[in-house]
Amino acid sequence: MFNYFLRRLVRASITLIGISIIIFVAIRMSGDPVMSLAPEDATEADIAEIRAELGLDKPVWVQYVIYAKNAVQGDFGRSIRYQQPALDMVAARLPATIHVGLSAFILATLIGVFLGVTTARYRGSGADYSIRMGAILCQSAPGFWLGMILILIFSVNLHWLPASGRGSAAHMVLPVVTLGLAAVASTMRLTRSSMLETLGSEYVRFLRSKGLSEDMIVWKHALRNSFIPVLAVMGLQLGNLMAGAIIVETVFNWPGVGKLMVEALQARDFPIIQAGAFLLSIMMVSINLLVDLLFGIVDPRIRYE
Amino acid sequence: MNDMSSSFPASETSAPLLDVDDLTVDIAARDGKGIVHAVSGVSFELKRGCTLGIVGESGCGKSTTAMAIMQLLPGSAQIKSGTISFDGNDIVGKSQTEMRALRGKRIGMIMQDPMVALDPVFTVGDQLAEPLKLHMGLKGQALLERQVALLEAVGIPSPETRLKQYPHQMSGGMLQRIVGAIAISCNPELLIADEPTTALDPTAQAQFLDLLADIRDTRGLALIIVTHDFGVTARLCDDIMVMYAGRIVERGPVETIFKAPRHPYTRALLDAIPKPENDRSKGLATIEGQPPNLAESISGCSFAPRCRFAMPRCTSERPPVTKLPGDHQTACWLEVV
Repeated sequence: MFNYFLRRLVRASITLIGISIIIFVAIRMSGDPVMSLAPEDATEADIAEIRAELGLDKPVWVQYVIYAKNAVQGDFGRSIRYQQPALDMVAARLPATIHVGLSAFILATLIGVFLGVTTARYRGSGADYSIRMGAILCQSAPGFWLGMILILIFSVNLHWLPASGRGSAAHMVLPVVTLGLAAVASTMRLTRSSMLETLGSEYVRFLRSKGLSEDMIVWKHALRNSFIPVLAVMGLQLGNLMAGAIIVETVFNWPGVGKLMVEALQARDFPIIQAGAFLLSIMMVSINLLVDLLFGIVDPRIRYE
Repeated sequence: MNDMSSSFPASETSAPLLDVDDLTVDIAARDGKGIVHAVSGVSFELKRGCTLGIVGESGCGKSTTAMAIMQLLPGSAQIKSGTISFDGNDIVGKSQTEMRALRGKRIGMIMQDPMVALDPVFTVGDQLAEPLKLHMGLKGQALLERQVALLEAVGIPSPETRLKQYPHQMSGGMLQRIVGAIAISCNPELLIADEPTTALDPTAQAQFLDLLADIRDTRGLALIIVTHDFGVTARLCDDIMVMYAGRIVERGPVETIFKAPRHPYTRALLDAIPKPENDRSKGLATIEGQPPNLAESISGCSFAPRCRFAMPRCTSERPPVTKLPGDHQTACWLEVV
């Protein structure tokens, strides 16, 4: 168990190093921050000076080594625009992102699993067909479009809910629904197909022969047996919901990491993007590790040596 | 072979525990068109303490008959006619809630493949506890004592340890014993075993059959064994019912069926059992041809196309059931004089 955990940690570190290199190189290919920083009338010498100040005059790999050395010590540099430590700026925005992402995740899991189990149980019924149809619609609707349509209906026309910002619980509703709806649909569909397979198995027949109620069979036995693939996808989804907040945060003007990163990207504020991507990656990797450990709890056949 | 002087006094009342009369089950074909007549006009009785073997090829309707008694037929199957009377009450058309009070409590079931009969993510103890809690209201120490006693009754060593284990930690033979312990946990009056030894290796098979006989004799329950193996019926059964294409072709006491089979299908099945004295160079005896497609309506005897003794009449008219001496009956034109 401990060895397994250690191996996974080593692999996670390699993943993180890989991600940091890709981000580092990719954003440098996206454009030159000096051009947006330098005043209109800057001379060549001025520009070179700014560039040297930011360390951008050195070869990319040298820049990366310097960045990595500092990053290991927790220093992700300072925001080019705001001159504040990048990691602090990202960390300050993290609660807002987790707030909406986790809410969407919980919503998606509870509703998705419930609908998946119910549609599997009443397979072929009218409810089964309509819920599945709805799920396909929800999965096909792109987040930015769905967000704007919801704003149009519930904020602009009905005046029920605020269109943007963070504060009251009412502010949460539209971003969470926008973010979570596709996740509800995919959780529901996966749960349904996994449940159908389980409900057709021999041990379910044997459970029925013991006189157990259908509720007991479905919720206690079949769901737990169907849960491994659902859990795997839930892990991926939780990561996606955190990272996917980028679009939703922009549409709803939600002050989270995603919105900060989009702004930083537009301003070519490299340290912010690097720190943000790094933090999101760490979250993704930890969630995956957590999911792997949960497998062993759900299914005793998967216990790591 | 048939231990009628069981240590548990069999009920003296002559009323059978189970009385199936003219049972007919249709199953909607997979493609949505057509109906498979899985069971047609099956009638039999079973007394307490007695064992009935239902024998036949795959798809002959033997498992469907067993499932109909449990009222656990798949959604595509429907009991079209007939009655299944359990202890005097017709259970056809009973609600699932009413059936749940019977299942596991008065009727127990043993599945074919023990490796897939238990839920892999719960301990054996959990799964054994479920019917005990549900039907007998046991908990705490009383529950544990009963669990241990049941595992001991099916011959599982160190029961306390086994209760905490998961199915994947045990062998097939041991799992089938666990399945048996669950099936008899609430002292059922009827035990249905659907191919109980098919998935086991020969040693485990013999041991499990001995266990079944022991359970039947000590608890005085009625036993139905669904099998394609005549060897199994010879060890355990009082009566044998041979099914073909959803119908009973022959029924009688086990000695009569083995010594004086009347239906050509029964004879062919018995001939197909490999015997040491047979000439090996001739290969194994087989029955030519395939069972009929049960989605098509069959006029006459359904075995006629494969029967060595088929007469013109066999393909046009269904043979009536002929009663023979000694509680023996068969449905064959050869017996109609």
